[in-house]
Amino acid sequence: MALSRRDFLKASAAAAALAAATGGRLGVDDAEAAEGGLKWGKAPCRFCGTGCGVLVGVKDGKIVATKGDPAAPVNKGLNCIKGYFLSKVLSGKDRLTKPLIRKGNRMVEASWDEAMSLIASKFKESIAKHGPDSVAIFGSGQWTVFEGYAAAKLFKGGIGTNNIEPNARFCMASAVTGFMSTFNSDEPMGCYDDLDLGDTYFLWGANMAECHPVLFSRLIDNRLKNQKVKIIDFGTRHTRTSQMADMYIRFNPQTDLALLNGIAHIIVRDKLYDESFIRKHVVFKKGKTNIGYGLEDKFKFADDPKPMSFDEYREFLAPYTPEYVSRLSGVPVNTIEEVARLYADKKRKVNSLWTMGFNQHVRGTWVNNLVYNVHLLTGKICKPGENPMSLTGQPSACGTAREVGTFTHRLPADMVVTNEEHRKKAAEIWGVPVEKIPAKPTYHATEMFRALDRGDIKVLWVQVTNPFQSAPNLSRYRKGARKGGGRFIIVSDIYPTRSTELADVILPSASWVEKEGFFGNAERRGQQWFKMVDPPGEARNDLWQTIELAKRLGYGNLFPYRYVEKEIFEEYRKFTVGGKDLAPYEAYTRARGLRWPYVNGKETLWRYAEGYDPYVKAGEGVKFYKNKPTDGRAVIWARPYEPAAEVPDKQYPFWLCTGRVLEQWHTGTMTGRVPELKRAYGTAVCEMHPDDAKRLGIKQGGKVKLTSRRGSIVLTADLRGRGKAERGNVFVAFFDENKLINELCIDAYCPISGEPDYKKCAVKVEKA
Amino acid sequence: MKTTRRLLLCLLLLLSCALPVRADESEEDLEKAARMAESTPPVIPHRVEAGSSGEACLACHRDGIKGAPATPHPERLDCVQCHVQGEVKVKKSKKGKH
Ligand code: SF4
Repeated sequence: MALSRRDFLKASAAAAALAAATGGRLGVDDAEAAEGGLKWGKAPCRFCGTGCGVLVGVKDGKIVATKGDPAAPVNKGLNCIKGYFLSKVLSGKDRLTKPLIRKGNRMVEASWDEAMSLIASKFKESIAKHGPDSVAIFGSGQWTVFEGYAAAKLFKGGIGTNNIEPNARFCMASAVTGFMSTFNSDEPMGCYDDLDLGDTYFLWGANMAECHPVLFSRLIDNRLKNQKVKIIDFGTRHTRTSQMADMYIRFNPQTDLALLNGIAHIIVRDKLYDESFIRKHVVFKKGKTNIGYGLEDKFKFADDPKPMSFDEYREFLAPYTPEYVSRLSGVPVNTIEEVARLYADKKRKVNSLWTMGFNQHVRGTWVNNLVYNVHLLTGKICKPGENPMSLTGQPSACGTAREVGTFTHRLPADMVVTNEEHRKKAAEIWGVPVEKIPAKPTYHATEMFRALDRGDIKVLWVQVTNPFQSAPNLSRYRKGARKGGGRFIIVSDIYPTRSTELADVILPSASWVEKEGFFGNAERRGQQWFKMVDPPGEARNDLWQTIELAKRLGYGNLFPYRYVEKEIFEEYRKFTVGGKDLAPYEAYTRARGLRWPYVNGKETLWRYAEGYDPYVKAGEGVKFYKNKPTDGRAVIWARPYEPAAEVPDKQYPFWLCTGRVLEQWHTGTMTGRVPELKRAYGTAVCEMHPDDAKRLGIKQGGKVKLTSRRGSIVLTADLRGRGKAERGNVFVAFFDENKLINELCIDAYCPISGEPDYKKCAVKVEKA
Repeated sequence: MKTTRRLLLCLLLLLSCALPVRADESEEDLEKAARMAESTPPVIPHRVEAGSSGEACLACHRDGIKGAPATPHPERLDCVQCHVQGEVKVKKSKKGKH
C-alpha cells in the first residue's frame, strides 16, 4: 500500500486550501471547535445487515463518538443501541495487538514475519503433501468486499482450491438458493423503501424488533402515518416484534412449509391469483422430495427440476386444505383463510419479510421458494411497496459473501465454478490460466468442519468470524480442531474468542474504521468508508494478511496494486457489468451508499420492473431477465411439507430454538466488550413457558438443565423475559461465550443450500 | 451568523479554487450532519418490566410526569431499541432480578 487514500485526500485538501489563499479550511476549523475538535467521517454500522449509516467522530487519533447519520437514507439518523455504542466496540481492554504462536499450551508473542513465515510454510507443506484441497479459508459476511475478493482470488485463482466458505453459509445460504432457484439471480427485487410504501407486512420467523431494529422502526413509523398498515407476525415464539404486531400467529416449528402451501391452496381454490401475471411471468416446476438432512459426512444432493403445468401445481396443492394445514401447524382454519385473503387482497400492498426462521431450516430453500410462490401467484412483486424481502444478519453478507461469491461453488456476480464459461470469465479477469480454477465445489461450511475433523483438511485459516462458537453440533468440531495429526489453525481476530483459543497462530486484525472498507447491505446498497484511526499495537487488516500470504506462496503477482482497495474494487466491478453493476469507486466515497444495478449514473430501487430497472425494456412491465433458461420467467415451485430432522419425542420432549437478542451481536465478541450492553443483557438464559416450568418444578431465576443428543448445558430459567416461549419450546440466545448452546444444536442442513437448522432440535429440560 | 460566514467562505472557495475540492466539501457536509445528529440515547435508570416499551414508557415520558423526563420524540414507539437498562439508581422495587 504505497499510497494511502487518506494521505491522498489530505494532500489534495491541502492543495485546495492553498489555492484558495485564505482557504475554506477556516470553515472546518470553525466546526471542529464547535464539536470540540472532532473530525467526522461516514461509515456503515459494523453490525447487522440493515446497514445503518453512522458518523464517526475522531479526535487525537481515537474514536470518541458515533452518531446515527441523519443524511443516511437507510436509517435517517436513527440507530439501535448497538450502533450507538459503536465507539466503544474497538477499544476493549483485551484487544489483540501482537501475532501469537502456539508453544505447547502457551501462546507466545511473535513478529509478523515469524507468524507469516510459519503460516506460509504450513500451507506449502500441506499443499505439497496432500494437495491444494487440504488447505482452506473460512471467512464471513463481515469481510469487506476487498477482503473477500482477495481471499477468493488467492484460493480459487492462485492456490487452486474451492476451499473457501463464509459463515454466511450458516445464515444466508438458503436465501441465496431460494433466489437462484426462483429467479436465477441472487438478491432482492425490492428495497427498504417498501417498508415505507406498503400497507401489509407478513413477518416470518423474523424478530425484527431485536434483530433489524431500525428497519422495524420504519415499519412502525409507516403504521403511525397510515391507519391501513397491518403487521402480521408468524412465529414459534412471542417476541418484542409480536408484541408490537397487529396479529401474532403462533405455529408449530417446521410447519411454515405447510402454511405457505395452505395459503397458496386457498388463493388457487378461490381464484384469487393474478392470471395475466402468471401467464406472462411464471413457469411451474417440481423437484425431488424426501431429500434428507445431511447428517452423514460427505452427504451429497442434486435436485432434478421437472416442468409442470398450472393444473399439476393445483393438484400438488390439493392436500393442503386449511383443515390439514391447521392440524399440522396449530393455526386455526379461520386464521389461515383470513391470511390468504390478506395476501391476495387487490387493495393491499403486501410484503413478506424473513430472516433466520426461514434460512436456518432443513428445508430452507423450499420455504424461500414457497413465499415467492405466494407473491408470484398474486403478482405482488417488483412493485414499489409490494415485495418479498429477505433480510440479512451481517453487514456484508450480501455485498461480500454473496455478491463477491466467497462460497465453495461460487465466483463473483452469481457465477459458479461448475460452469465453464464462468470459469473462463473469472480466469480472464484474474489473469490466471482457466485450469487453475477447479470445476468442482468442495465443502460447504458444515462439511468443511467435518473435513477438518476427519483430517481431510489440514490447514484452516479463519478470518473475521468465530466458528468454534457458532457452528452447530459444536463439540465435534471443537474437538476435531485440536486433534493434532498435522492440523494447523490460524485465527485472525480483534479479541480473544472461543475460536482463537483453538488456534496455532493468532493474528491481530484491524477492524471497521481502522481500515478502508466496503460493505453491501440487504437492499443491494454498497457503502464505502475510509480508514479513520490506526489499529492498536501491531494489528493489521485482513486484506494485508491475505495478500502477504499470497506473496509468500508465490502469488504476489495476482495482487499488483498500489491503492489496493480501490484497484481491487475496480477489478471486481468488471464482473458485475450486465445486471449487478456497481458504481465507480469514487461515487461511493461521496454517497451514503448506492443500490445496484447502477447504470448511467443511476441506482435501481426495484429490480425487474419497467421504469426502474435499466435492463427491462419499455412495454415489458416486469421481466425476470436473469432467468434466461425460462425465457425471463420466475419459477413457482411445488415444494411439499417435510418434517424437521429431529422432532421432540418421549426422551427429548422439547423443541430448542436459538437466536439473537438486541444488545448482543452474533457471538458477542464485540458487543460483549461494551459495559452498557453487557449490563443490559450479559448472560444467555433459557426462555420457557411458565406452565412447563411449573410442571418441572422450575422457578423464575432457578437453574435449568437442557440436554440434547449432542450435549448439555445449565442455564438460568426465564419465564417472563422479553421473549415468551410457547409450550413445549425453549429458546436460548447464542451470543454467550460461556454458554455454548450450539453444542446442543444438530448439524442437519438444507440439502440444497447446505445451511444448518439452528432453530429446531429436540431437548430434555430438567431442574438443575 | 456562523452559517452565513461559512456560506461566504464556501462561495469564495468555489470561485477562487481551480482544483477539485471534493474532500473539503464532503467534510463540511459530514460535520453539518454530525451537528444535526442526536447523541447517544440515555440508559434507563429505573427498573423496567420485561416487555415494556411504547405506550408503557410514554405513560410517564410523553409529557414528563412523576419527574420523568419528557421524550423529544413521542412518535417513536420501540423505546428499548435505543434505551437499555442502565444502573438502577432508586431502590424502590422490592423484586429481585429481571
Ligand atoms: S446493528 Fe443494525 S439496526 Fe443497529 S445500528 Fe447497526 S445496522 Fe442499524
